[in-house]
Amino acid sequence: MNGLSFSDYLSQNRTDIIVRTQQHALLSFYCVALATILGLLIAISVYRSNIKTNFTVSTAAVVFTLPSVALFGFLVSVVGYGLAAVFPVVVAYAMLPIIRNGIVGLQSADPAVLDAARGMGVGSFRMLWQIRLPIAWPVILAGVRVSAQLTVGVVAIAAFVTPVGLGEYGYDALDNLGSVNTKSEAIVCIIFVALVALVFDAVFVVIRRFTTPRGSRA
Amino acid sequence: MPESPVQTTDEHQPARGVPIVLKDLTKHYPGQEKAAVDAINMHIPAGEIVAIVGPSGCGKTTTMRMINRLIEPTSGVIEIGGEDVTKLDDVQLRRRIGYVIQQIGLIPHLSIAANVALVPKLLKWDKKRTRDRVDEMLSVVGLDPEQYRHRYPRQLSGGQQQRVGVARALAADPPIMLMDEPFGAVDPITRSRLQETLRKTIVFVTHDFDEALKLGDRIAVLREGSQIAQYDTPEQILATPADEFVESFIGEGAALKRLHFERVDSLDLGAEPDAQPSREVVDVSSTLHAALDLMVGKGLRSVTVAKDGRPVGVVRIDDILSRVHTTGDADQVEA
Repeated sequence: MNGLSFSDYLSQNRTDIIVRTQQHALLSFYCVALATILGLLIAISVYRSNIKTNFTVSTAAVVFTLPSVALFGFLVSVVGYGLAAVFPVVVAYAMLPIIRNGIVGLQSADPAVLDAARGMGVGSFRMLWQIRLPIAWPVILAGVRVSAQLTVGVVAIAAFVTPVGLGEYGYDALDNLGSVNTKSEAIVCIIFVALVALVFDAVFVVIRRFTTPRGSRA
Repeated sequence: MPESPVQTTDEHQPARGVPIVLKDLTKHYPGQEKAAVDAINMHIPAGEIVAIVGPSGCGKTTTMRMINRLIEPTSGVIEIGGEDVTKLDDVQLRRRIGYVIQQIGLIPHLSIAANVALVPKLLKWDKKRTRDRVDEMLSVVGLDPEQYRHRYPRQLSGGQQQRVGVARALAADPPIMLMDEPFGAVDPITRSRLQETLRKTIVFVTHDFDEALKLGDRIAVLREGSQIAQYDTPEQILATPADEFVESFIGEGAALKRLHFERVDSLDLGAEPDAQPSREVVDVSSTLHAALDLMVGKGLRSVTVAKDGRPVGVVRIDDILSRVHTTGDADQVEA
């Protein structure tokens, strides 16, 4: 027997696909949001010191080289299956580009701008909030954008730990290798993950358009 | 917060300059054997432009940056308007001292208006007062507010940015201005409008002695460790340099530079019967330099001097040359 055609597979599993796509997008969103907050806090707390900056960036780079499946596996052995094993890993990956771009952005302000501002009585909190952060914003946003792309991919792998998101289709395809719907399952996984990533990217284009101060636009 | 001696006045009365006094002001960086600034003493009179000149690394910038405490002094006292400011909150203090730097440092993501409004905003002026003040300051520096208010620093030429930098420093009407290698920024604007009408006290640092001559009411020539080699008016420094160091700093052509500071009417203009009347005329208030320049340019040996448009005498090239000889001690002038 020939199983279902791809379009039949889509229409039969319509509800399920929509739910999983929503799960996937939401889980990615939460992880990126959390990673942005944590990543920026880390960047803000280290950017003034070269030693701390180097340490942070190289640590993050090391974390990045670890295979995500291994990390998921490790966390499952600690906290068991479920979202608790997903968040730390995804957020850790998502933070890397945000930390790196955050540091680069915060350090990128022209020293003359900072000196002139300080010389006229801009205090250190204002300097960060009203001068350094707005100047760094386009770079930070680019980091969050990369992070979002990355996260959508890693969340697909997280289905290994908890049956959430579009990654399920990928694992189903592997589990049922050779069965009639394998190909359709794999294609659904690929297309919809890519779709989520593209929508995220489009959102960032809009955010960038509306949050970049006019004076900073190239 | 302690009452600051460098209060800005209300909006109708521009703040006049106040004197600055440095007493044994010292900056010693840890790990360095010599002090960057070694017990400098200086009195900067209210409403004057004082140029601090010296070779690079002599501590002139450090000295200036200690006045608004961008660099904290190791010891010593800074008095502004008669009050010790070394104990005041440094951020509050800086809001009442104008600051202009060579690289300008306009905030790139803020409009020109927002840049100029920086200090008024920090001082929590109300919106209308800030807006009016921004327009006023842009006009003072020769930029049409209508045209420039909403632009961004990138969209302005270097010279225009410099003028915005001056407008920003003046926005909250500080009695004192500090300028680090300001070059063109001080030139036309500061000299005429700010100095002569507002009488701000201005301290500026430069390595260019000619700029110091041109702009300073007084010049402090510093050597290493911010030691004052000479602190005097440009005329006096040119006429009687304290030592070889100052002489070397004045450089070539001290005698000619001195002519910038002497007026035509400082010479005896008694109508010499043998002096040929000249069609070229200089005003009595012209400098000897201008008169000499005219003669050299036109190939004349004398020019008529006029007061209020009427001839009052004649200045001859020989008179100028003999003046150069009598006032210059060591300088030889090739005629």
